[in-house]
Formats: sequence, C-alpha cells, structure tokens
Amino acid sequence: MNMMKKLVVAGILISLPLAAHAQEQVTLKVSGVVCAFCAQGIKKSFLATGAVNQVAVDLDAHQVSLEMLPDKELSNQEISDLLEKSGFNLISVERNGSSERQG
Amino acid sequence: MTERWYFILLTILMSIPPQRVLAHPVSYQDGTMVSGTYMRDWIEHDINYTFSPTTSAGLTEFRIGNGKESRDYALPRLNHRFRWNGLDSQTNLYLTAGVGARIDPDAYAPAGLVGLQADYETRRIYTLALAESVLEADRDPLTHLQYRIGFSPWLSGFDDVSTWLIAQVDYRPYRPDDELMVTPLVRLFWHNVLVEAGVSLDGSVMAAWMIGF
Repeated sequence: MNMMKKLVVAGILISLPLAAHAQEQVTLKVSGVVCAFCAQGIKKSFLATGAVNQVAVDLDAHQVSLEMLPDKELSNQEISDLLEKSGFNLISVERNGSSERQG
Repeated sequence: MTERWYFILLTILMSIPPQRVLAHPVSYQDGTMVSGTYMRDWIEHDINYTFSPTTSAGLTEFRIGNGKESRDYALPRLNHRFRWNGLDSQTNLYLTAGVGARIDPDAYAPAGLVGLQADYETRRIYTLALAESVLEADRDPLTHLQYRIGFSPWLSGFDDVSTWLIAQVDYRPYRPDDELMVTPLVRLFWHNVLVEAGVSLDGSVMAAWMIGF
C-alpha cells in the first residue's frame, strides 16, 4: 500500500508540469466569415499578438480555432477587439471545451 | 513589409496592365491592399492602407478614355466602410472621396473623386453596386456605374482556391458610342491573392488582380 501511494503521488507530481504547460485551445464562433480572402486579417491579427501558435478558420462552422502558446492567454475582450479590428463579430468563446456566450 | 517595399512593389505593379478589381478598399486594421484593374479605356492602380477597423487611406492612379482621347489622374483617397455581419452573410457599404490632379502633358489640373459601393455576399452568392464620379472644375463629371452578380459553384475551405462566376454590367455615359458593357468573368482567390479575368460580350478583355498584406 505504501508503494501504491508513492506511485500515485509520483504520477501526480509528474503530470503537474505537463498540465501547466498544456496549450489552451480556444474556439471562437464568429459572424461574417463568409469569404476566405476577407478573413485573412483574422489569422494575421491573432498571430501578431505573440500569444497564439496557430489559427485555423472553418468557414462551414463559422469558427476560428486558436492554439495558444504555452503560458499565454487572451481575454474574451481582447479576442473580441481583435476580431472587430479584422471586421468581424464574436458570438461565443469555448476554452478547452467550456462555452461562454458573448453579448 | 516595410514602406520602402510597398513603394517598390507599387512601382513594379504600375508597369503591369491593370484591371478594375471591385473588392474591398477597406481590409483589416494595419492591412494593406494593392490592386490593378484593366477594362476598355479604364486602367487603374490602387494602394490602400487600413488604419482603423473601418477606414483606409490610399492612392489611386487611373487612365480614362472615351474612345477618342484619354486622361490620366492621380488622387489620394479616403475609404470608409460600414459593415453588417450575419452568421452566413456580410453586407458592406463603402464611401470614397479623393482630391488630387488630372495629369496633362504640360500641366496639372485639380480633380476629385467620389464613390459609393455596396455589396452583399454569402458563401454562394455575391452582388455589388458601384457609383463613382471624377469631378473637375473645367469639365463635365465622368460617371461610372457598375453592377455585379456572381455565384460560387462549389463551397471552398479557408485554405482552398475559391472560384466565382460573375456577370458585370458597366454603364459609362461619357462614352456615347459605347455606354454599356456586359462582361462575364471568373474570379479566383487563394489566401491573400485574388485574380479576375473575362471577355465582354463585344470582345473586350477584362482582367484584375489584388494582393493583401
């Protein structure tokens, strides 16, 4: 049993650093994204923040997916402002599976 | 891209026969668009920098002909956009105004430009209406009206080449022998590059390009 407990604690301790550096996935529902040429600014704007590793735009689902850099984040307000600068509107934000509706 | 490269690019691009691309004079904040347009007796180059979410400043140079003579113009301009986003659609209204010069062989004369452009698009349908006038103190205004309607035969993803089939109607009353022109054309775009080409019903080639940075 003592060995079991040690293994469990060791497992938790090993996984904690991995969890701390896990990259946040943020999924945005966006209105107005009907044209890939027009939406190029979305990608450029988010990558320019220095907080985002990858941006994927799904025109079918009206979604923009962000893979954040380790230990970096963008608030919902920052995300909304970036989309507005690109000419689009934020509908909702989903972070690692948890949704938050905007406006 | 630095300003120096923008001007080098513009100089190179101005040596290429242009076309009228009626896309987006306002792109996204800190974005730059360069474009070229060619149709019969209208040759145009534009560069626009979008400095706010809704407004861009740029420079347009164009040559207009009426079948007998042609005139050259260069005008700095401001473009302002109103946009309404739907989940599956986008509606834009652009206002444009510029003040610059007509460039004659031995002199310059003041000239202005005013324009209004409205468009509506979904992933399948695109329609646009445009009205522009070149204004000069010593001449009648040169007015150009255009209407476009297009559709995309298939839906393309963000990283795919998008294809559009478009019908364009131009009305230019300053060309009394040739006021109306109808042109079917194809528009392709991929990432930040857009090209268009077509032939009017009376055999005039039309082409255009646009690059966003």
